[in-house]
Amino acid sequence: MLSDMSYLSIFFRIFNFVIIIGVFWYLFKKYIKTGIIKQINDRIQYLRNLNNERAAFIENAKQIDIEITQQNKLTQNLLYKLDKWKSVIQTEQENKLRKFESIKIDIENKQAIKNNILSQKIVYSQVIPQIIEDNKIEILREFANNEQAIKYQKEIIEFIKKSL
Amino acid sequence: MNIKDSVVAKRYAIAYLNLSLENLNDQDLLKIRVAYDFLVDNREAFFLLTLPNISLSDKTYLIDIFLKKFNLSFDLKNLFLLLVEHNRIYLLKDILKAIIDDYQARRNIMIFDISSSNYLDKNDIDVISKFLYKNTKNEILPIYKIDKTLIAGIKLQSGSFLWEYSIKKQLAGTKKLLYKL
Repeated sequence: MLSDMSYLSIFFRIFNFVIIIGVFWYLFKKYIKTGIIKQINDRIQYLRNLNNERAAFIENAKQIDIEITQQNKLTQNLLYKLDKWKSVIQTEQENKLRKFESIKIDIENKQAIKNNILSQKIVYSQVIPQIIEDNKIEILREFANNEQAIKYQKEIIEFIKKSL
Repeated sequence: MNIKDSVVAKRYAIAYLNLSLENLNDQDLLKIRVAYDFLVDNREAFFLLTLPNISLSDKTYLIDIFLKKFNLSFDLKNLFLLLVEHNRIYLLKDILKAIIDDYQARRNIMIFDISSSNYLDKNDIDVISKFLYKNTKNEILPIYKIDKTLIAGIKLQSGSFLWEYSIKKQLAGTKKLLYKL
């Protein structure tokens, strides 16, 4: 059986233990708990931030995907327009080339006609009159002798006589 | 000349021929023709007759000189004076032309200008006249002249008939042909 001393001693022991526990609790509450809670809150905040960043990244990635899709569409559209434009340009160039060739042929034809007219003019204004003049001189020389002219005239009279 | 003048000239010519045809012969016609040719070459020959300040006696004197110069019948004097009186002396050339044409039609004759490069004797002209008669069925009154521009050949011409066989014509034909090529 325990003596009174022993009860007292147990009591004090318990009492001391309670005081020590109280001091530890007090010290824990005053110096450690605040820091731990702060660290936990910081950690939670950090995790929240990470989560938010992740969500933002995901959203951003989605946005980028959409933009990529849109860019792809725009690119396709642009490529289609580019092809069309190239085709139009090519057609236009071919038309221009054809027109140029046509104009070139026209110019060549006109030049040929001009050359022809010019040579005709030269023939008309120089060659033919010269031929006629030469011919006339030759004939006049031929008939300078009156006998030739008289002979020719007599032949005409004979021809008239025969027709009577 | 306008149409009205032409009609008036013809009327004067017809009136003259109606009065004087019986007195006219072919030789007179040839003389008229010579006078006509002169007026063609000298358009202002009767300019003085158009001036009002020239007296009638002076005008008559001029007309007499003209008639003598071309040995024309004095029947024409009355026509000339009538034209002076009517202020239509400017029609004289056309009236003479109309007289020549109308005379030829009434007498069934044709005046032909016969040109040759060299002299043609009377026999040749007779041959040509027969040839023309055969082709026109009209009596021929030849007016002969030498035309050296023919070079060699003969040309027969009246108002509506042309027959030419000459070097000049052949040259012209060659020229035309060359220009056609």
